[in-house]
Formats: sequence, structure tokens, C-alpha cells
Amino acid sequence: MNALIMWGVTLWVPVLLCVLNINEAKFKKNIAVGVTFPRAAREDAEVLGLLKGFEREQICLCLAVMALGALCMWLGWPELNFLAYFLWIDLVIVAQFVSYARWNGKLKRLKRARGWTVPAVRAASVTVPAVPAKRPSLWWFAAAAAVGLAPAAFDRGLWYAYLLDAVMAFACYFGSRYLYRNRAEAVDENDAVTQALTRVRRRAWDRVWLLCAWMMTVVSVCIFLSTRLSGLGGTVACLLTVGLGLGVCAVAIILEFRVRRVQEKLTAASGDGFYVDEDDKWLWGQLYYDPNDSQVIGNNRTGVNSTVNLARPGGKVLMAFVLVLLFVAMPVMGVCFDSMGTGPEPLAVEDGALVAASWGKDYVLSLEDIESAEVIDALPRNMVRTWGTGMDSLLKGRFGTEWGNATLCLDPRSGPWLKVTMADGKLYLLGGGEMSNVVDIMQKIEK
Amino acid sequence: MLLKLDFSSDKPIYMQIRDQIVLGIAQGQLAAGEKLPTIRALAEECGINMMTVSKAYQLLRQEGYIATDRRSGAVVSPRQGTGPSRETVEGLRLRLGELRLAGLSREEALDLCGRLFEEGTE
Repeated sequence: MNALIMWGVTLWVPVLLCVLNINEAKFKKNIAVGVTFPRAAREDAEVLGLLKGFEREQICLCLAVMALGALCMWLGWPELNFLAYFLWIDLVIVAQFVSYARWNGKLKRLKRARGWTVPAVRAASVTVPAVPAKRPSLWWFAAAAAVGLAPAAFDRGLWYAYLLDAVMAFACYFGSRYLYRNRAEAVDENDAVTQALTRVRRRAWDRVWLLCAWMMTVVSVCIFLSTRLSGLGGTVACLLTVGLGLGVCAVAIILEFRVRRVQEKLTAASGDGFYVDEDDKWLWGQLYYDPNDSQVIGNNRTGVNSTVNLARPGGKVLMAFVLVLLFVAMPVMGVCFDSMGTGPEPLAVEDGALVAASWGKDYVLSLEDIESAEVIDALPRNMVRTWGTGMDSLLKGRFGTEWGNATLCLDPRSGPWLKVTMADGKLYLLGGGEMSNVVDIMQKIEK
Repeated sequence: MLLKLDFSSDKPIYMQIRDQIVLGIAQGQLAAGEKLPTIRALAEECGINMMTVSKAYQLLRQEGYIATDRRSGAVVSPRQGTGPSRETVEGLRLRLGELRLAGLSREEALDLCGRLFEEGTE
């Protein structure tokens, strides 16, 4: 089921990338598909033909990867394969990158052939940075963190979950401040346009981070509600959290397109006379590489987002981290999840200790420290995972239950399970292997 | 006003900044009393070291084009009308020599100078 949800919530990713890329074909700040053109190019038949070709390829690519994703889903049903899922995501990213780079190269060649290259200079506004930017106050983020932490006063058991949310809410301030390159959006010598573009981008960037901070606060409140409301509390909290997550994504996407639209409108008349051309600083139109720039963070050429300067060691490290995450860690995670999908290993008693093992972690409970143990046929209802794994075939880690906080390592599909209370009051719910195995283990504990 | 920095030029970056700010003041793009960015802000804007910007500002301050104080940062100084400095005269002499070598007559050179001078008063 988890894998199905993952496919379900990410099948739209190629569509989003396709729409974003198609939008790149519209001239914003004199740039189309990562290539800067003078105004005359907007009426050039060959340029327009290439941009149309780019748009067509994006649509075909999107349909192809979605069909492949649907095929993987259909072939893998009901035991969906996480490795295939992660490899599919990698394929979506690589395919769109290669396609973009290909059309960027074509447009750059045409630009050279037309003689539209301009001397490579760095344009920097003097007027715009002289006016201090209005940024959201630290107190807005501190308030979000404080509200997110407040439930810890009433629910001490999950203080670490509330603290984590509060820390993440507060960290959003640093994201808005330091993951942003405070640079004027200079397109040409028109100061009014530069000021407007800069203001629009800054405001959109700050709004997204402030929204994320308050989203973390609401997640914290949802966790609190799920522990307090009986019956549908957990479901309501879960739906609220998912809904808010989708809401934040939607707002971020809407802001991105709104900023792009503003950039398109404000620079509709630009491109005559002097205009800023930084094509030589962007590899394949997508990766920022400027050895003359001492900053690690740079702004994307269009839209709201930030990027890293690959010419700086810090930028290289950050990019390497992202690449390792995408192309090494994700497939390895796929293999791990697929292994977890087989459920926990059978319970065993070894060297005077009860051992519950699953992929990557063993729970070893000394028989001497066990206060009581019983075989249960039904798991507590409304269990809320606070830390660990929650899969169809494996529940592992810390969970809030109607019996109090418990550590779980079991396959929820096949009971019975063992409810073990330790001398220090800790509660464990364990299970794995055949029914006879659990009963056999129980007898060993009783002895 | 837009600075255009050429990193492949032999001219040091701080001199490029200095020259363009002087031209900006002369051509009216930067008015007297107008605030300039802080050293940190301009360094971040250009992606260069703060020392480079500091050097340019120091030079501009020494030459009287800008004034700096702790509260308001750097501001464009009002035009003093004190006449050209010795360095300016020497520089102009050199440029006029270059024009002569480029084959321009006295009238043509004066006409060119006049046109360039007018750019600052338009």
C-alpha cells in the first residue's frame, strides 16, 4: 500500500516538470530555454521553430515516462517494487535534464550563427542594493516555533517530536535568509524594472519559507490532536498533515508561476540596446558555474528558486550530496525497503535474551528484565507512529498506542504477537514468523 | 545604475567600479546625496571580495566623489566645482594625444569631446 501511495503521489512529477519546462520556452528576462536573446529573436522564425520543437519533445517525454511509470505500477501490483520506483524517479530527472540540455545547445548554436553574442560582463545594480530590503522578521518564525513547541507542555511523551517541528520551523528563517542570494534582478539598464523584479522575487521567496515554518507548527498541533482525540483523531490528523503538505506544495508552485509571469510581463519590452547576458555562466543552461563569483548560492535565472555555484568548493560539495542522494542513496533505499517488505525475521530466544530482528536493527531484551509477557491476537487501534517504519508488512520503531508509548517490531498482517513489559516499564509489541513460533517463544519466556 | 564588470580585462575590478561610479555621477545617474550600497551589499551583488569594493570606495572618498559616515554609509557628495586635478589634466592630455595619433584633427577631437561632455549634462 505504501508503495502504491508513493507512486500515486509522484506520478504527477513528470507533468509538473513538463509544464515548468514548457514555460521555459516563453521569453522571461530575455531568456528562453536557458539562452539569452535580443528582442529581435522573439520574431525570428527559426528560434520560434526550435522553441516549438522543445515544447513538443517535453510533452512526448512526459507521456513516455508516465506510461512507463504506470506500466511499472501495473506489472508490480500488488507487491510494488521500491527499487523500480526510485529508479523511475531518477529516470524522470535525467530524461528532462538531457532534453533541456539538448535544446539549449541547439539554441546556443543558432545564437552564435546569428551573431547575437554580447561581451561577457557581470552586470550589477548600484541603485537597488542601496535600498535595504524588507524581509520578514525573525519573530514570525520564532512565533511559529513557539506555537509548535507548546503541545510539549501537555504531552511530555512526544516532546522530541514537538521539539523537532519547532526547530524545523525556526530553521526556516535561516533558509529564507541564507539560501537566498541577495542580488538585484538586473536585466537591462532600466532601474525601475530591476527594482520591481527584485522585490517580487524576494517577497515570493520569503513567503514560501514563512509558509513552511507555519506548516511545521500545524504538523505539531496535528500530532498533539492525534494523541488527544479518540476514534478518528489519528485519521483526521493524518489527513490534515497530508492536506497541508499538498497545500504548501501548491502554494509554492503557484508562486513560482506567478513570479515567472511577472518576469515575462516586466521584461516584454527588454532586449534592445544593452541587456544582461550570462549564458557563459550556465552549463547546459541549468547549472551555475562562475569562477569569478565568490558566492556559493546563486539565484535561478527565472522563477524564485536558488541554486549553487559549481565553481566554488562548497557548491561542488552540495551538488555532490544531491547527486549521491538521487543516484546512490535512493536506489539503495529502494533495496532496503524491498527487503523490509518481507517483514521482520522470526522471533528467537538466544543467550538468555529475546531477539526481534528486522532489516538494519535488532531488539535484544534480556529475559531477566522481562516483567510480564502475553500473547495478543489483536493490535491496539489508532496506533500513531512517532519514529520508525510504518509499512504494510512491517511496523518498527516508536509508536503511540492506547496502552501508552510502545516499541514495535512486527508484521501487522500476521498475528498473534507478543506484548512484553519490561521491569523499567517499557512496552514492546513484537512478532514475526509463524503463529507456532510466537507460542513457542512465549513458552520459553515463561520457563 | 548598472555596473558592468569585465573580469577578463587588465583593468583592476576596483578601478572599474571607481570609474563607472564617477561616470554615473557625471552623467546624472547618481544624484548628489544619493545613497550607495554598503560595501557588503555591493560585494554580494557583484560576487566579489569586500576588500575590492572597500578599495574602490576608499579611492572615491579620497577623490571627493563620495562621503562616508557610520550612520548613513556611503553617499554621493555634492559637486564642488574645484576644477580638474593634476591627474585629470594629465589623463586628458594622454587621451588627446591618442586621438591625434588616431588621425583626428583639432576640430574633430573637440567635437568628440563636446559630444561626450554633453552626455553628462543631458
